[in-house]
Amino acid sequence: MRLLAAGADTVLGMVERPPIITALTSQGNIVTAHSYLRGSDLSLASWNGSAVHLFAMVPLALMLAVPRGTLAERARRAALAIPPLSFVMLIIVVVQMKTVADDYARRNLGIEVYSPGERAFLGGANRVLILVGMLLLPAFFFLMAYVSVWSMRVADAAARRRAPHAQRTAMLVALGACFGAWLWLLQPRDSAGSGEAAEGVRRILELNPSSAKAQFIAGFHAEGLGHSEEALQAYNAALALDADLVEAHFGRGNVLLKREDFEEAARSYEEVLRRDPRHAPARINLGKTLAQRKLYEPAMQDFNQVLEADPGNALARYNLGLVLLRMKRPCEALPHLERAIRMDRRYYGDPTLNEILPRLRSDCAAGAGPVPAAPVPH
Amino acid sequence: MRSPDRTDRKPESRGGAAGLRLPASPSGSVTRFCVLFLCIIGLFVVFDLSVVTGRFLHQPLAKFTASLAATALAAFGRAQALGTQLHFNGFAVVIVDACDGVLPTLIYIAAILAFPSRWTHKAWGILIGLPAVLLVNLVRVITLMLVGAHWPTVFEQVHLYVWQACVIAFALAAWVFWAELSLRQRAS
Repeated sequence: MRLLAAGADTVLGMVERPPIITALTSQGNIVTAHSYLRGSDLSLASWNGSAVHLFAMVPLALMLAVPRGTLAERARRAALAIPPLSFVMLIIVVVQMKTVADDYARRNLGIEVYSPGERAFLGGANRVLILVGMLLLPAFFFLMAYVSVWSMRVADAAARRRAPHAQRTAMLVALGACFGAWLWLLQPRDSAGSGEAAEGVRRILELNPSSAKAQFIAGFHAEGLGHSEEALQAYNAALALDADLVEAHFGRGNVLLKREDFEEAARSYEEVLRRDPRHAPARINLGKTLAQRKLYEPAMQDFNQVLEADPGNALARYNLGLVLLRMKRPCEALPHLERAIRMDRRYYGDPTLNEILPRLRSDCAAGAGPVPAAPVPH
Repeated sequence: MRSPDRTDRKPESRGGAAGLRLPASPSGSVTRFCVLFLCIIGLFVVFDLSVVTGRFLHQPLAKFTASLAATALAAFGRAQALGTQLHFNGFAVVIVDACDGVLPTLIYIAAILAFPSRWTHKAWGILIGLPAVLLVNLVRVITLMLVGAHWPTVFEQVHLYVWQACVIAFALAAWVFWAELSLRQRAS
């Protein structure tokens, strides 16, 4: 399956213009599609390819079951069928991954990623591939094997002597071509550049002109590239189409937070929390905006509220520690910062924390001493 | 003076396949068979995709299969056929074109037509094999309904993979039986 996924990845890179699926990875029988639509951290959709082996197993089993010739002859013929069958399986994986990506985007993201024509083609290709792969190809290979053995038996001696040489040459050429094609397909493809992804986002906007979610994806993509103005415009456009789109309010808040427009960012996070009071990332970010405006008590309340619902939230605990430091309560901050480090190993590499924590530990062990300068909440 | 090729170009007059018009070389036979088989299948696919076939072959056959399956399923529970729809103990399916058994039947017929044998043998092969393949498809529909009603989680796997493979294996077994019989009769 790993080989099929790697080959399908290369094929998708060639056929998808602009690309929707930017990479395929596999684990066991599960093939996962990645896309800029959901950011680099999250996968787009997965497909269980356990049944794809049947498209090779059935023809091979039938070829071995041909009631003529020796087992060695049948096995040789079956082995020759493996390269063409591998390409059929490759096409099945490509079509399936495009189908699951389309399905996921429509159901979960609420957008169309392929045009109606492309979707109809995918649907037709799926049906045809199952019928061809499960009926026509097994039948074809079986019949070919049967007729091949039978004709060899009835052929005259001279023809029988001539045939293997010509056949062997043709087979070697075909096998070499298949092997070369696979080697080429297994080369890792270049990841989709930001230009291609931007082209993909433009196409999604064209396909979904009145979709708030499509505008949100455009904003999310622009935000990922650091184009804050473009992202803000897209989020605003999404909210103009659907004022209740929580993700767009959150994205807008994040862009404004990065631009240090703390009041406006706080308003966006409040909009999120008005619609979804349990949105922990929005509450943490709201706390950050409050802390930046030196409103430490309400910021602490927000972080504590997140921690009440989820004591294992390292980000909330870390920010609570930082706020307590700013409030000059270092010995209260210390256990929160230490726990945040234990819960999320990313904080091990935080140079500011690495500098502050030893001092805090020694000061708090010796009684309250001078307060170290608190870093800005993350 | 005759070339060795010409001297040897009468395998059918000596071998077990007497009377068959075969190309002299084995690869020629295989190529001839493959080309013929694929051409016939191509023609069948064009025929199968036509509106007329859908109206006069697929629809009546699907309705007939559904009603026969409902009759058989009545022995196991509450079964009903409504056109091409089939209901059994709360589980319902529609017998679509791909599931009415036409495709494996067409493959079987194409294989018979492409194989070198007498037309009378071909006609017998089609006459006997055609209802046999359709009967297996009926068994497939009945068992799929039982699987769907009792084990719905495995229905798709059994529907798309297990039974498809079984139907084509049966069609090919029927074809081998016919081909062997045809060759033996010719040899005798």
